[in-house]
Amino acid sequence: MSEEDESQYEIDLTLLANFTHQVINPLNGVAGTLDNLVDGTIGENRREQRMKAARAQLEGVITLVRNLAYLSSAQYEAGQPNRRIALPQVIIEAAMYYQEEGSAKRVSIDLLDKRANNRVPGHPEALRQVLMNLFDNAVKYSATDSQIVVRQWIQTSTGDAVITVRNTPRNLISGAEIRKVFDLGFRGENARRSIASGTGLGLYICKLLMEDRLHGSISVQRDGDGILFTLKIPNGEADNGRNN
Amino acid sequence: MAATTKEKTILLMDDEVFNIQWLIDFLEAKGFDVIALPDAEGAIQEISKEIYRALVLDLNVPISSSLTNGPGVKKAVYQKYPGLQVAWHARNAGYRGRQVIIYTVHRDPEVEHEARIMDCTYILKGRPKDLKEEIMAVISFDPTTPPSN
Repeated sequence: MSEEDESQYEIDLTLLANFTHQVINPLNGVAGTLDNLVDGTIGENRREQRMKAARAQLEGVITLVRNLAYLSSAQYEAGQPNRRIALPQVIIEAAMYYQEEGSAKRVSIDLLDKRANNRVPGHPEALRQVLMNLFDNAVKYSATDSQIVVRQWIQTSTGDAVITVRNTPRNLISGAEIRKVFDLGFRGENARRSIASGTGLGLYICKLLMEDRLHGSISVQRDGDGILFTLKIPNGEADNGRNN
Repeated sequence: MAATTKEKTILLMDDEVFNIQWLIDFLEAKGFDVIALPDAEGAIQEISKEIYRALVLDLNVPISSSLTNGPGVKKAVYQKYPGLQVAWHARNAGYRGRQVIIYTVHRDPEVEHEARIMDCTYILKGRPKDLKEEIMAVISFDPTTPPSN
């Protein structure tokens, strides 16, 4: 194998170790729930709730694995999108994955403009993955009893579709950290103080997908006691109030 | 060795409580009260106050950098896996080795070595039945009660 071939297959062992940790924990949770269902530990009154929680854990694992798949396929150029993304639909679909975990942590995800059926050309799966990564972080690292607020609209001056996601972290995030949040492997103080291990992969993938697959942008800023992510995708089609 | 002061309570330490809800369900079904804590500081505070029936400790949890006292905790493996520091504090607070279960994703010979030195049980995540069996063995008797002659 040539040196060039070898570098192509270089493995980031730290990323892999963190990834393993992030995958085994929820899978172990699912296995535990299944074991409880089999041996009768969980009574009839809680079966449905616990099965939904297990489903959410599995979906979280799939999201994480999909991030790795996006990372491994980053070199492929995305084709021109010929599909339309219905913004409220994709936002709601992504949020549904985190209902169970959010409910357990008393953190809600609320889309404020769900009736404005704004659209944008692009890959719905890519935008869903971006939103799932943002919601995953927001649910994990937000203060208890807080709200994740999502808005979406078409910016009149530019025609861009804009989505904002605002959450309230448990600990204030510094300006220096804000500038690094999209770096591969970066985990801020708030994240490390809340959950010891993580991959630092999610926001990196968000940036990659927003720029390479959706031909748009993602940015982040502090917003009072919160943190605000702004996604922009060009060539939005406003609902024009048909469904408002 | 100190006697168990809260024999109907088991303390769990894991920074992702959502992922060990199954364990809370299991222990509550067995009639135990469960204290679930997400970080090392909280756990060390709790185990300094009471001797619970058992501790189930995840290794990879958040910890403040100020918690570095004790001979064992100066080793790199204790810095890497803060759960070991909690186990060390527990053993020095009067917990018997059998009462301290290290429950983790990591298969690490150094952790295994330290667990052996502290005489704690070391169980890998992945097969919940293993942990259930160990907990059932621990709670089948109170390890701090002197045997009757």
